[in-house]
Amino acid sequence: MVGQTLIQKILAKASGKETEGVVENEIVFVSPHRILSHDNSAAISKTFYKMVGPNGKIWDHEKIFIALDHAVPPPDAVKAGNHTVIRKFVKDQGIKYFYEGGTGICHEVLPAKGHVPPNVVILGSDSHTTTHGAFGAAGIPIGRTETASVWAIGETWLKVPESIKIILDGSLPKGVYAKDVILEIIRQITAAGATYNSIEFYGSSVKKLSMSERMTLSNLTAEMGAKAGIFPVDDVTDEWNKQFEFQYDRITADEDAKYIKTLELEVSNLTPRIAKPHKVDNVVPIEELGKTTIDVALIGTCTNGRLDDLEIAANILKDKTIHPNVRLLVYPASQEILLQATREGIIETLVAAGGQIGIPACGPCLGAYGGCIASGEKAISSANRNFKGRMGSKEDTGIYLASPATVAKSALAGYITAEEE
Amino acid sequence: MSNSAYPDILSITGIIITCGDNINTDLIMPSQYLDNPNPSYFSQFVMSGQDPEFVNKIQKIHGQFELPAILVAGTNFGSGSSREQAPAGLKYIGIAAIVAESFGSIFFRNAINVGLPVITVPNITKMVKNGISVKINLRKGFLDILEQNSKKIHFKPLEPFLLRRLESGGLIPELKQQLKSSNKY
Repeated sequence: MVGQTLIQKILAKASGKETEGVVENEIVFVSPHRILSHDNSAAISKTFYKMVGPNGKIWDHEKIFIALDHAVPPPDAVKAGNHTVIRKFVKDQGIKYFYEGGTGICHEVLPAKGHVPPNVVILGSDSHTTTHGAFGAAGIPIGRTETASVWAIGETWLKVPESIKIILDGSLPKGVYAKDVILEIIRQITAAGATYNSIEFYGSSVKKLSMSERMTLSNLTAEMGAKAGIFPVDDVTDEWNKQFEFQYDRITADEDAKYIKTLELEVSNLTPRIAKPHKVDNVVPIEELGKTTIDVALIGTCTNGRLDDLEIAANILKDKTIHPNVRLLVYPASQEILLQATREGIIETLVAAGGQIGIPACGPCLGAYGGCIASGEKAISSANRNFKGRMGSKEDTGIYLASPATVAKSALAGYITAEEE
Repeated sequence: MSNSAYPDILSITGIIITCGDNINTDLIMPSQYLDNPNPSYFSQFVMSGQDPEFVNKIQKIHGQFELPAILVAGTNFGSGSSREQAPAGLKYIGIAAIVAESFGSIFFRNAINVGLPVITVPNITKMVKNGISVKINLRKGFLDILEQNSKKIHFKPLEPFLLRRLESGGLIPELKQQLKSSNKY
């Protein structure tokens, strides 16, 4: 057997080829541990019935995961109707893992509810399914029709990706966060630089990253075109997994496993990073950005809407008031996070500073509702995409991506800054 | 345009229309047009984030040459969001195939699943230009530039099971047929 990377080991296991292993670019057929979808489940369910006929049944009612998060609460009757279609489908098919709108963003809820053990394949009808690599799983995004087909027959094809190794060493300086690290990685690898590849994270800094910080990194590997962004299981993963009844081995990549690229990054001297409009790899150190006033500051999304993110923002905003020209929008990534942030006084601090708290969901990230920006306005956001159209942005507007700390500091100043007031 | 205009989806003659690098799915199919699932609606706005005149240009090609359009793109075409309306909309307005230097991997799968041929050819944007006609043979893996003394560019054909999927018209008809013949439903 040739030396196997993490993705090769995971795909070999999922396709029944554990003994012989798999090689790069080989086509394998895998059955996922879970297949995730969200509001798009309405369209997927219609496609599903087109494939299997009106009396067709799903392949496994315990493997399909649906969380309503994209249009929550529904801003109009059409989106509300989609939710109705999904609830009926869930009931008719006996789907076990359905999470009602307001529970949280699919990528937050899936691991938090114990659906992501290490070493498994998670398929998802959402491009940020890469998030689940944080837990040592292969989170691989697919499309709607394909999701319908997996619901019907329980498997799909995957081409075994070539792998990129990222080695992070050193300790993050004060005011610099996981988001800054991954933005710097994207700057170096570029938006197309990891297309079809699987990324593995190593190095002394990785051991110090929390599960939440790892999720930020894995989430954003999607913005380099990666198929997966995986953290090897370590003590931090084991500690997280104690709350669940998972049975697993710690798998590691073989020593002779092949990587097409290795990127080493010393994080000790890193400064806060900003991705300028309208590309995620349009990244500069914040000190190189000219004075940029903002109208909206967004903290939330599947990238950076977790408890530690809200806490960092609250520590910056404590006993202060945001700039009068700024609207600060806060979308906790899940109900559980909102509840915990409420108990810890984080929500009170954010509201007292002038923040508007949204319902745990995707919020305005995709650009359909929940705090879009008007013509001529600029936003700073803790999300993962600054494309034209996101948050309703146009040619003459723009989204700047940054860490929650930079977003909070900018909300106070009225312009983009990483300096404490 | 209906599929009947193309007796063999794996052998396509069309007129090239080009676009740049890193065209993501938010540009191909902006999210504000996604509420209505009918392709006759959302396809009106295909590529509007990149070029508001795109749909008109495709109609012009159809009118002028009576041939479908073949989209030639740079690197990372269809990156970003997994929305399937992006390839579905392109197919609906009469794009018969996309040739790109590289694709976003979800888009690549989605395109095949909706029955839209996608072909990866490195440096293709340097080899062709707007308005010329080309013939693509997906089975054999070549692209004939018909106006440059029939210059042939070779590419690695898709795996046979993906070619079959395209021939079936996409994953929905393919699976429907498969399940029917296995008597599962």
